[in-house]
Amino acid sequence: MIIRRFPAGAWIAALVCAVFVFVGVFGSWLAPKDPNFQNLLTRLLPPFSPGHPLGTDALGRDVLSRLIAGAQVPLIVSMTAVPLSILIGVAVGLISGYVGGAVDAILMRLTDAWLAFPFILLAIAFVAVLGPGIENLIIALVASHWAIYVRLVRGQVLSLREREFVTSARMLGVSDVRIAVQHILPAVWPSVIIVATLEVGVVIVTEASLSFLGLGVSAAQPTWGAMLSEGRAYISSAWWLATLPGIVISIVVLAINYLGNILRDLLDPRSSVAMVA
Amino acid sequence: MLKLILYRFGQAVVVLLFVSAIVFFLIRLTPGDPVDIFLGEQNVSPEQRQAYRRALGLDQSIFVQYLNFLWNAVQGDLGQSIYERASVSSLVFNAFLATAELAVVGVLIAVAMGVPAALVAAMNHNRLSDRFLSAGALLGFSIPTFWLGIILILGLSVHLGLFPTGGRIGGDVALQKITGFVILDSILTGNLRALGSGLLHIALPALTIAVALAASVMQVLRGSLIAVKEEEFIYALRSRGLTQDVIYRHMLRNAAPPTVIILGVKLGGLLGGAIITESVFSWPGLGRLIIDAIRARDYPLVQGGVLLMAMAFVIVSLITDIIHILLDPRIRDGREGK
Amino acid sequence: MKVASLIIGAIAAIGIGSSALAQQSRLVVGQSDKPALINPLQVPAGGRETRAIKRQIFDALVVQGNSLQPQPQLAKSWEVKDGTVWTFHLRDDVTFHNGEPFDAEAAKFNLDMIIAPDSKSAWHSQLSSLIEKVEVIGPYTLQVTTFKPAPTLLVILAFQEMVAPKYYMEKGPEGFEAAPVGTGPFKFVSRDGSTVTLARNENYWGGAPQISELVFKTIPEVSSRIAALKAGEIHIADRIPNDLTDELTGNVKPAVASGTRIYFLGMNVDQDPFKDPEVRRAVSKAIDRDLMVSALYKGQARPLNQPAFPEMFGYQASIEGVTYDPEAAKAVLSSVTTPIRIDVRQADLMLAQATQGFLSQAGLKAEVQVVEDSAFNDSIQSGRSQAYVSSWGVAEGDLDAILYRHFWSGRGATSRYTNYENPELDELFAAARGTTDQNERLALYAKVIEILNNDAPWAPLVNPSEVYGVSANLSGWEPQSTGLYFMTTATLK
Repeated sequence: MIIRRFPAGAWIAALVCAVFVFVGVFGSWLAPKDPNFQNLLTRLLPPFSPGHPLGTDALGRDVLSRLIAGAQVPLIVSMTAVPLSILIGVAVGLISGYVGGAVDAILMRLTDAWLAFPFILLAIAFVAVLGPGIENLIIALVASHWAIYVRLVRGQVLSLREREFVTSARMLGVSDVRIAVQHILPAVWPSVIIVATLEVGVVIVTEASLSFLGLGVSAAQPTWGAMLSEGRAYISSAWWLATLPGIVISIVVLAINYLGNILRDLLDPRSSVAMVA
Repeated sequence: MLKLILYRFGQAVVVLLFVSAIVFFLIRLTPGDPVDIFLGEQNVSPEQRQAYRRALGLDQSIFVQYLNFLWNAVQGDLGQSIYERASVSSLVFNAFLATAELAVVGVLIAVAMGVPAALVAAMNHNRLSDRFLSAGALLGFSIPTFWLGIILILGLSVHLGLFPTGGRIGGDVALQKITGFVILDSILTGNLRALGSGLLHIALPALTIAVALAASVMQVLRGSLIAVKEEEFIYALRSRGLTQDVIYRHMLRNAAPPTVIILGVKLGGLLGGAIITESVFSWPGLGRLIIDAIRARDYPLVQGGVLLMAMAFVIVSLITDIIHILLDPRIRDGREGK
Repeated sequence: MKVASLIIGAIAAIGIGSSALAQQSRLVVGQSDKPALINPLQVPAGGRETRAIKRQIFDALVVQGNSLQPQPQLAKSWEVKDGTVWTFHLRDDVTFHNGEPFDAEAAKFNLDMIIAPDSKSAWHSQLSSLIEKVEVIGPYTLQVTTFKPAPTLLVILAFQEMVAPKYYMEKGPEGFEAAPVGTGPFKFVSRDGSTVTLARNENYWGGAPQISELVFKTIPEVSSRIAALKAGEIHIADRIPNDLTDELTGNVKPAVASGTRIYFLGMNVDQDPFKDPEVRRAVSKAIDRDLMVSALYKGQARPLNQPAFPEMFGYQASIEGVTYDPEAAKAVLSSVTTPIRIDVRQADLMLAQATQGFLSQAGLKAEVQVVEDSAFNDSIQSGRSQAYVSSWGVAEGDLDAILYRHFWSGRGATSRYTNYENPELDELFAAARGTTDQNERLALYAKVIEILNNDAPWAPLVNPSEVYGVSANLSGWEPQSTGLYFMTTATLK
């Protein structure tokens, strides 16, 4: 039933996301060449060169293979950083909204303080403190993104707390933890899912931005952001180096955002909360 | 309502206190030493090195340093930059002006693009033009900003030579400084050359940040306009035979609050420096200042910059909240707005 | 749409019109890094970018040319007695921008400021350990006495810019920084953040410059710097990546000077697998420097077979040095099981990756890790990095500079780098510091190079040229190895 309501674009977007996940998981087998193999004699070949359909970079590495292998880090990072951010953010939001009082005041001010930093700056600071590497990149992204969910959840918990089904459960002697988890959590879930979908796109772009600024994962691991950053100096002579990864990022993020929008229309048609995040 | 605003103000102070603590300890946890960095490859004896540390107050315990910093900051003294040899407040303030100018122009462009698009889309709900505009907005929202900036430079600056590649104003253009805003100053002094140069310089970076912003404006406003369109009072206006212009104005006023909030939140973020846009376009703003300061481990400058950035964010949120309260009477009496 | 394009067109016309109207003799230099302090007596002294600006405002007693050997500047000539008593004969026709005369008293003031115990000068520790006293023995004759023979004194003096003494005392360090006064070809006009504006010194002793205004501005992004050059916003762009030299065509052209920077792979001799000198030598043999130069640098660099480049004092022209021998390298490296991690700054990433490529081909498990600049410095200075690709600038042009900071055992806790130490090397270093007999020093350095090549704490890589982009309408200017700009003869057509 619901499926028929999806426009054709949704199928394309879903396909793009599926390809992204597939390539992210199996990239190392799919890449036609070793993405790290260098050949200084065949550097900066333009696209459609024999053996290199998308050309080579400044060290003679195959751009197509690097684009394929480059899906792995964004996939891992977004698939771990977003759920971890949700875990922390939702927990803090639940506690803050449900317990209220001084705990709420402190937690919310801390959240506000956190939100007052631009994400990218926090992420930079964390990568700088922790050092490079994919685990630290994920920590940095979680550290800079958890606070979004706190406000989202806490606002809804505040209003749910006084609703009839909660107050009656409380009168029946149901423990606070159970009320929070069994009764309140399911009600806030839809909006969290909506924001989370859009956050996947944001995290992918943030990861690319960090790699772009030279604060990404190991250089041994190709990522789209790092490719873009390395290709930047050659922008007027070898346009494909910075252009192609940018197009790939845009397409993937577009598909994710598109699906997120559809999800929002389905779950919560009148909400504009997703765009605030 | 005054009580609510005062309450919010109190909250803001607490938030800034937290921010100051986070930034202070975070930057000191970061490996790297400001003294080493500014001495560079020069040959300096350990005694000299120690003397610099002492001069910068870095030999004291970290908590003493923090209390000193707080005490001075409360008195309005953010200290001296280690690397720049100027007061942090003057450096940070000048950078903030550049950032604010960029943010304001960016928001104006975003509104100029987003509002008409939203109107057209909402009036043609679910028709081809709506689909087209919505898709465009989604695309605008998805393109990484730094990449867009590079592509704009490549196309419009390097290949077509239409715009300069970076900076705020042509180096050969003299401009008397009044407010610190290039565009405003050139209008105030009637300096056409400076105005032309300033507008050309700000065009691409402002466009870069405006694209994603316009997409947000368009999506949110479109949603509220569609909802408002169906409301009774609009039918009533229409039946009274009012012109389309007047009806649009009524619709926009009623659909505005969510868009205003979003613009407020985004503007708050932008005032903190569109870090990547600023670095791509060599825009001497707050974001770039802070990034450079982090690289140089210029502790006082990082602290001052982040504090001002957070202050801008908090103040803009506060103003947004107040506007929100004024626009939406329902909140005025209830619990604090979200 | 139409209205919008008209507006853009009109704005563009104003903008373009304005740049065409600009004075013909205003020359703008776009630099990659922002200047530090202009006041030569204070730190941070900054790097090449700052020095380039300082040397427009100030002169020093001597100046290095492209050979890196000190040439006369404010000192016309000099002689040394007993290796420790240096007599400088100064120019008598020089005045500072504010009218103060330059004489032996002024020169003494400057050197005394640097060696004074409370000095904040970047060169304080270097110079105060050399100079015993500075005396005025005639209005234009200065005598410098060193504790012991000081072969590096002249080169160090090339870095000591001379400020106007009375003015300096009157204004203090902060006031002087705001409006510095020297004897150089250009006078300080203003500084706005990282943009420094200078005006022609009509009375310059070396002849007034052709251009009337000289501006240094900072454009950190390479692509932006090139674009600004092509758009005519700047006339000289520094630090063009060497492999982009070919891109400078049309209204711009490349200008190349041989460089003074040594790029190397540092190997931590306290960590596996580099505890074994055999492994370090093999790593050095695995790297095809000629290919690096021809591919990565488009020929705008020199491969290094020793930790020195040809203009450096101590360079051994006749030795074979380290060579590319992939078979020999593979024989050793393929049995090394410890994986290595090469730390690098973002800026040197490509060179590090190319190096890693050669090591992988030789069978060594190697990975490149980009580390944020300050964290990188912290890691290598404290000797924690297992391996790293970096560079060291030797503008002094003497092997002493490298020995002192990287290999001498007394180099201190903030210069651990590869942790390499060697008592034999220490003796050679001390002996070379103790004599002004250049032939004797050269012989000592031959031994030093032999030891360093054999123990291989460094795999020397390349010595890239300094590539500048310049407008086609600029003439009378040549780039310098030292990064100094000699601007008096430069003209814009």
